[in-house]
Amino acid sequence: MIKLTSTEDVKVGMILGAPLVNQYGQILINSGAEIEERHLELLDKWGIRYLSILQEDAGGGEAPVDENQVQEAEGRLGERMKWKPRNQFEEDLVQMAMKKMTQYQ
Amino acid sequence: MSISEKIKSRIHTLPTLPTIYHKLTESMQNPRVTTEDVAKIISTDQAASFKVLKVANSPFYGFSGRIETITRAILHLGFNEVKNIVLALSVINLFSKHKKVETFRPVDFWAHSIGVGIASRMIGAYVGISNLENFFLAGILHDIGKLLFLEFADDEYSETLRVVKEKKIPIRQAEKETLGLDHPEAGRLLADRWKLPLTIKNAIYNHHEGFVGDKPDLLVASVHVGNIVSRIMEMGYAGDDLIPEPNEKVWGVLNLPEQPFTGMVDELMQNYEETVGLLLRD
Repeated sequence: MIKLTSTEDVKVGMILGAPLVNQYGQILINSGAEIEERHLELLDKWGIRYLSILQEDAGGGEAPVDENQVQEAEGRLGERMKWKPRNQFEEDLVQMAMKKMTQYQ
Repeated sequence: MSISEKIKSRIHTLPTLPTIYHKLTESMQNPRVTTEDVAKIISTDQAASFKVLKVANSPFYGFSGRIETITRAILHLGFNEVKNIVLALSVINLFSKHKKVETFRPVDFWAHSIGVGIASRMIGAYVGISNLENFFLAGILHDIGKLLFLEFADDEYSETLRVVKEKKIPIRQAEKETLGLDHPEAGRLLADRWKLPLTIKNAIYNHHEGFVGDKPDLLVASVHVGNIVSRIMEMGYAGDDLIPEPNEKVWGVLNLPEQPFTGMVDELMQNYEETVGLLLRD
């Protein structure tokens, strides 16, 4: 999971979960980079206030979902979503909808 | 008189944005303005100061409980973000007292818009944009055209909402059918009237396309996807409960990591609930 983190709370050793780019799209620090002391100085110099930091999942897994609940969610989603996913991001949107309907009701 | 003419002829009767917002905009054009100068302007409005501090301390901005003064809020969030919070609070306040039309209530409208603001900002962060100042505000204001319909054409808009229900079509399509004008166009009229910055105006007018004409724009693309995310997560109500199909080209603009949406669910819900509590409840 990626968490938007204030640079004040960013510590050496944390992992960047997304590339840090400037307004022109140039990559300043690559995704997956481990934060070093020099990065903290640069972030301060560049005036960066937030970073996307990779976080370990809390563990323990998610609560098991009942099969009827899944079927009901698929039915409702079919009524609201009239298109088919064409790539991994759209597939992830569908999964997000399923997660919402089965775990956040 | 068409709806468009009706709105244009009456838009001047809408309240203007509060003096504090204009004073902030003006002062920020002065290169020698200091943090204290800006803090002083905000502090003249006690209600605004109080809410700005509450929002600045929300987990959404990552400084929970540590910002005690407006000066510190400006130091941590920057001039523009604080000005954007003032603008978001002002606009929500201006339009929150409207009565509901059919099943469409202003509080649900704002909850949807806050959801879009939070999702757009998180998407911007995932893409790795270092300057996220306008993302939350653009999301908050993206559907503002719908409020013009509620304000100046509520009878006609009732009919639009009935058509949405009957035909199960997107609200934008029903607006075109019943009013001859859709909410992005109406929103553009309001953005002009309020002289909102071009970046925000682009997000209001182009959030269904995700592009400005054929030009890629990270903010507009993020709001385009943020709108879909807010609907998927059933945050508030935008006038219909359909989930629009993304413009496939936005995925080429937004360089997202793998599984960005399922990965953001928990944090998104937490930020949303907290922010709705701060902005919509007194």
